[in-house]
Amino acid sequence: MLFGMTALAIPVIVHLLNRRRFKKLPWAAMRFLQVSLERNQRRMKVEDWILLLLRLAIVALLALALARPAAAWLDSQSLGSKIASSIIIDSSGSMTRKDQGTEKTRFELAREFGSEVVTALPRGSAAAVIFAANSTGSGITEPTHDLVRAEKILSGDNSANLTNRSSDLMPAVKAALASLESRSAAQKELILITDGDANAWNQFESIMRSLESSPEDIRTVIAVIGQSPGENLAITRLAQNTPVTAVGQPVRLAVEVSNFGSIDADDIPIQLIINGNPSGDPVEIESLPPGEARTLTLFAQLPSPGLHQLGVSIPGNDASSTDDSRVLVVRAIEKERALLIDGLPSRNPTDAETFFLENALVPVPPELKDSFFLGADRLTVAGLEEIKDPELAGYRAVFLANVQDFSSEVTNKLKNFIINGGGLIVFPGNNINASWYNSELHKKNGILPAEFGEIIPGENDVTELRLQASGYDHPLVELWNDPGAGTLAEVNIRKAFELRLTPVTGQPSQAMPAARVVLRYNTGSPAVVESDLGLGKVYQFSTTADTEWNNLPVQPAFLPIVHRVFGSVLARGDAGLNISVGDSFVRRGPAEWKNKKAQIYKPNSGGIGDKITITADGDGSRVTYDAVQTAGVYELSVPGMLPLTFAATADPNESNPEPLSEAQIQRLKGVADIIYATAGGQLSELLDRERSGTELWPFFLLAAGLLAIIELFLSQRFSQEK
Amino acid sequence: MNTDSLNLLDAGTLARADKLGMAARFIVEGYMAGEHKSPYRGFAIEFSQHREYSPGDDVRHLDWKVLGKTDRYYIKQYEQETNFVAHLLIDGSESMKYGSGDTTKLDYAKMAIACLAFLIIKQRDAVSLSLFDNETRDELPRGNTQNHLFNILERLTAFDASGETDLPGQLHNIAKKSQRKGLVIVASDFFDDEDAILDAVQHLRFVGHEVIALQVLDHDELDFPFSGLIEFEGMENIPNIKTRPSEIRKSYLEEFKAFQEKLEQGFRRNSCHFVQCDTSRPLEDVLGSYLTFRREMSGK
Repeated sequence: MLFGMTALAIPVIVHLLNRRRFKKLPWAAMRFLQVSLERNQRRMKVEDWILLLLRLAIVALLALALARPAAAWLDSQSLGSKIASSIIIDSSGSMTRKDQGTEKTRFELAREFGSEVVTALPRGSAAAVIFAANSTGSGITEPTHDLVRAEKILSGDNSANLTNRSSDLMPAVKAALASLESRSAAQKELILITDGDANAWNQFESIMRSLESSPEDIRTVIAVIGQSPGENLAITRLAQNTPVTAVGQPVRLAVEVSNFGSIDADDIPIQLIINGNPSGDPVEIESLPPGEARTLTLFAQLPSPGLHQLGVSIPGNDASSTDDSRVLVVRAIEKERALLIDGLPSRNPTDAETFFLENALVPVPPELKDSFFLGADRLTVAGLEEIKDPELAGYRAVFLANVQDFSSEVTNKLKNFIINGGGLIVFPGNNINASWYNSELHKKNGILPAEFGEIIPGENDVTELRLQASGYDHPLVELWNDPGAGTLAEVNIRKAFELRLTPVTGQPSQAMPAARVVLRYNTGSPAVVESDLGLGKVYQFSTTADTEWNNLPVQPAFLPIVHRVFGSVLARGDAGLNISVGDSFVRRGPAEWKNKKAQIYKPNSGGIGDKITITADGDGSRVTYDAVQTAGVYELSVPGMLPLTFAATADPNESNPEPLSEAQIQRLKGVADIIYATAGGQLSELLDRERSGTELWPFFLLAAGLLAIIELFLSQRFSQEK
Repeated sequence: MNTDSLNLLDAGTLARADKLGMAARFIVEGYMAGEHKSPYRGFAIEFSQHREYSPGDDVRHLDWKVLGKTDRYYIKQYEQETNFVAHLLIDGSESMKYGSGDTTKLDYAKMAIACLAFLIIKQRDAVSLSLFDNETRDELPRGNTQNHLFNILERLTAFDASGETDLPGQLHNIAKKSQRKGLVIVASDFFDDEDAILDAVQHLRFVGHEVIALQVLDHDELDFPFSGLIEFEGMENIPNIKTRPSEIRKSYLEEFKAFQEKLEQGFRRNSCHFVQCDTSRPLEDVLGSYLTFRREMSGK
C-alpha cells in the first residue's frame, strides 16, 4: 500500500519534468502574447491544478485498489471478499486408518471436510487442494479459481491420492505458504487437514518457524481429524537374513511385530506367505504388551529358481490394514559357481592360497559338493590367461588370491566380466605386484576401488592391528552389530596393505567408481572396500585369503563374510527390488531395452498398468518409475522379457498412532486455529466466522476509471483554443 | 525568391550588382512586363532640350514635329524634376529578425525596399534611405542615379537588425527634416505604440508627405499555429513567456486583430496606404500597392 502511494509522486515528477521540456522559440509579437496570457493565466492555473489533482487521485485510487483492502463493516454477498485457500490433506499411510465407531477412513473424512471448505468459499475465490504425505504434494498445488475442479478432486474417486508414504507435512506446508504469499487475494487461508499423527510433524520446529514467519494475512487453520487411536498391531519389519538364497535351502526371515494399541495383544498368529499362498501353519506370539515390539525368525523354502514373493501377515481387524502384511521379493538360485585364482599354487592343498576360500564357499563334505548350491573351481594364473569368455561367464565371481599380476588381455576379460554382472574379489599377499595393481587395475581400468599402499602396521607401530569391534554400518557386516552373532574384533591381523581410497570429486565415473568402506581396522584404516562397476561388484581386501598374514580364515566369521560377499555379488543384479513407498524404482537393463515401452502394474491394479519408456543409460538402459505410492508387489513388464516383480513397503512409523503432544498443540495454537473436526460443517463454520467483509478494490478501480475518463475529457477541453 | 537563378540569367552584370540588386531588378522587370505599360515614366521627368539624333537612340524619343517642320532628326531630351523624392525607411529593430522560415521580416523588408528603390530610380525619381531602430542607424540623402541605387543596395545588404524600436520618433524626424512634399515608404512590423505611430503619420501628412506603410509580418505572427509547451523568448528586452500556446491562440488572434484594425483605420483616416506583407507571400503585392498608389497620384 505504502509502496503504491509512492506512485503519487509520478504525476508531480511528470509535471516537473514537463516544465523542463519547454521548446524555446524567439518571438517578436510578445505584446499580444503578454496580454493574452494575462487574460488567461488565472484560468490556466486553475485548469492545471484540476488536472494535477485528478491525476493524483487516479494514482492514489489505483494504489488503493492494488492493496486490495477489505471493509469488515460492509458485507455484500455479491462482492464478498475473495479468498485464496490452500487446503493440505494429509495423505500419508496413517490416514488409511478407521477410527473406532466410524465407517470411513481418516482420509475419506479429510476429503469430505476439504470439500465443505471449497463449497463455502465466496464466489471468485481460489483454492488449491494438495494431497501431501512426505513431499510437496500432488493434486492442485496452486490455488485455482476453478472451484468445481477443486471440489471434483475432493469428492471424486481419489483413492489414488491416498498413499502409504511416510508423513512429513513440512514440504507441503512450506510450498503452500510460498504459493499463498505470492497471491494477491485479500484473505489467504492455509487449511491443514491431518490426523495429528506425531510422525507427520517430525519437523515440528521447522513447521512452527514457517508458520510464525508467514505473513500476517495468511490465516492458518489446522483441522485434526480422528479420535483416540484404536488398537493397532503392525508388522513393522520384514528382512531376509540369509546371505545366499537358494532353491530348497532355508531362507531366514526376521519379522518384527509391534503393538501400537493400548491393551495387550495375545496369541497373534503370524502367517508366512510364499508367492501369495500361505505356507505352513502360522507362528504365534503369545502376548505382546502395548508399545512393545517383538522380532521372530521364520524360515521359508523357495521351490524354484527366480524371483519369489516372501510375505508375512497378521489378522487385519485393527485400525490400519496396510501394516498388517509386508512382502519382500527375493531371488532363489539353483547353483552358482565361483572361480578361485591361486597366485602361489602349492602341491599341498592346505598350503594353497585359495584353500580356505574354497572351504568357506563350499563348506560341505566332498560327497555333498555337487548338491550344494555354491561351487568353486580352482585355477592358476596361467589357467586364467587361457580361459575363454563364455567359460568365464559361467561363474558369478572370481576370487584373486595373492596373484602377482596378469596380462592386459586378462584385465580386459575380467573387466567385461564384472561390467556384465560378475564379481571380483581381490585378496593381496606378499606375492602381489602392488604397483601393477595400482596402475593397471586401479588407475587405468578403474576396477579396484583403492590403491594398495604401505604395509601396516609399520615397524615402529606398536598398536596391534584388529578389525573394528563395533559400529558396522555396511550391510555386509551389519550382522555383527548383534553381539549374539559373535565378534570380528578377535580377528588378529599381522600384516595388511594400507588401502588408499581415491578422493572422490564429483560424480563417480566409469573409470573410477566410488569406493565404499565395508570394514575398518581398529586404527581406522580400511580393511575391506567395495565398489560397483557396471552391473557387477568388486571387493578389495587388504590382507591375505589364507592365514599367512591373519587368522581370519580360521575364525567363524570367515564363512559368513565369504558367503555374504558372494551373496552381495548375486544380489547386485537385483538391487532395488525392495524399496520403500515414495522411493523411485530404478532398474538397469541391457542395451536392447532402450526406448522400449514397458508397463508397471501396481498392487491391485486390476491388470491396468502405467506405461513408461525405458531410457538409455551408458552402455545399457534404465527403467525409472516414480509413482510408488502404495505398499505391495509391483510388476515390471518389458516386451520379450519375463515379468520382473518388486516390492514396496510402507514406513513402519505410520503404524504408530502417537498423536501430537499437548505442549505441541499449545504451541501450534499460537500460530494457527486448531479445530478437532468430528462432524461435517464444523470447519467451514469456523472459517466463515472470520470471512466477513467486502473487498473494496472494485470500487477504487471503478473510481479511478471514472476519474481517468474525466481527466481525459478535461485535458482535451482545456487544451482547446481559447 | 530564387536569386541563384537570376545569376544565371544576367551573368554579365553579376560583377557589379549584388544579389539584392539582381533580385530587385528581376522582380520589378518581371512585374512590369505584365503591366503592358511603359514602366519608366515617372512624375519628375520634364522636357529639357533637343539634340541631334545619332544611331542607337530610341526612336520613340524622336521629335516628330521638328522632323515635320525642319526635316531633321532631333531627339527630345528630358531632365529630372528635383522636387519629388521618395523616402525609404526600414525598421531595423530586433523584432524584425523574426522569421519562421528562411526569410526574416527584415530580409523581406530589405528586398521590398530594394525593389522600390530600383523601380523609382528607373523612373528617374529621387530616393533617400533611412535605416533605424530607436535611432537612425544609417541614411543616404536623396539621389536618382544608378550609383545611388548601388549605394542603397550596399547599405541594405550591410544592415542588420538590433535594438529596440522607436518608429514614431523616426517618422517625426522625417517629417521635420523633409519639408518638401514627397513619398514616405516605411517597412516595419509596426510593433510599437499604435497611437504614437498614427500621430507621427499625421505629422507626415501635415507636412505634405504621402505615406505608404508596408507592415512586414511573419505568417506565424498572423496565424499563431503553435502547440505543445513553448517558451517564447522575448525580443527587444521583453521577458520570456512559458505557456501552452494552443490554449491562448484565440485570445492572441483577437488581440492581434484589434491592433491591426486600429492601425489600418488610422492609416486610412490619414489617406495613407497600409499594406500588410506576409513574408510567406511573393513581393509582387508590395510592388502592386506602390503602383496602385502611383496611378492614384497620376489621376489626381
